[in-house]
Amino acid sequence: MLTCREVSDRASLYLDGGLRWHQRIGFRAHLVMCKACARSMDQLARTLTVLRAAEPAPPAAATEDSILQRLAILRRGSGADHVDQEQSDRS
Amino acid sequence: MRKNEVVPDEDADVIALLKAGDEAAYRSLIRAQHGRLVRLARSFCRVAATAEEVVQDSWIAVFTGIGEYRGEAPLRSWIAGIVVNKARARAVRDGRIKNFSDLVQAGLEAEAQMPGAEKFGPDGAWREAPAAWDDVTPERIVGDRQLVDHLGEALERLPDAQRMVVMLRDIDGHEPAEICRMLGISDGNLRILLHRARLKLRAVVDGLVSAGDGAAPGHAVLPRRR
Repeated sequence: MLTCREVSDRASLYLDGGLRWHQRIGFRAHLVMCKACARSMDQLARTLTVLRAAEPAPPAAATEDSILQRLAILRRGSGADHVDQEQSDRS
Repeated sequence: MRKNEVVPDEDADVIALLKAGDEAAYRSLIRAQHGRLVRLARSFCRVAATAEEVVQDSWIAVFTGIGEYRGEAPLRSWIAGIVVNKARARAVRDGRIKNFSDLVQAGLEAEAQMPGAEKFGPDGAWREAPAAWDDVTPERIVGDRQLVDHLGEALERLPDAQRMVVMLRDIDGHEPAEICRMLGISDGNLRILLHRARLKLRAVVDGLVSAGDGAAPGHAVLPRRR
């Protein structure tokens, strides 16, 4: 039987699906029997929900145009060297 | 996603359009992902203008390199990987990061013990049961900017490597294997960084909730919803 501290230490692994099946069973059994650990897991899950609630700012209107203009210049041929550089940056 | 698995169906049409050079597809992808990618780049570069520049450069790399994309990773993870590479290179060039592995080590050693370890007795049982967060409802999370902003500020204060993994895993939802590949870290180190960061962020929300209950004076008070 896992202790509460062991459950806490494995909480992220559980949320990420990183526990093996027999570990998962032991983990879930502990949560069913231990209200404190069930609350602790609930807190962690709600924290992640709050984190995901922050929406990033949308791109400025000119951003798309600026990127596509740069791309067009590169593709017109004058920037062949730059394209090579971009490709090396990806690797 | 495991290596050699095919890309999800929803990506397939978009990828075909991108490979064909469809400008509307380019625009749609930029609109959908630019803000998220700038936020990711900021976790490396810290300066908003630099992060913006890094992501714009990344888009050029994405569109010029889309022909090489083979679908081993989801499209958005492939794009995020390009942003991470460029943001890391830029942070090193600007002197913000000397050596990425030092950053990971600092994230692993940021605390002497696991955050919240003091809440357990020597027998491994809770000294005091955690509070129920009845006030932190989905409606509250959506509507309460103070809560979201406060946690966002706490995220900014995390050690660099902890902030980066939270950003990639918990906010952007990339698979652990993809994150390990992007950052060049082991699965074990990813798990440790992520868990420590999550516990610290949970403690921040708990401080706000407790202060709202009058149980922890000195913390910022999270006003009750009316």
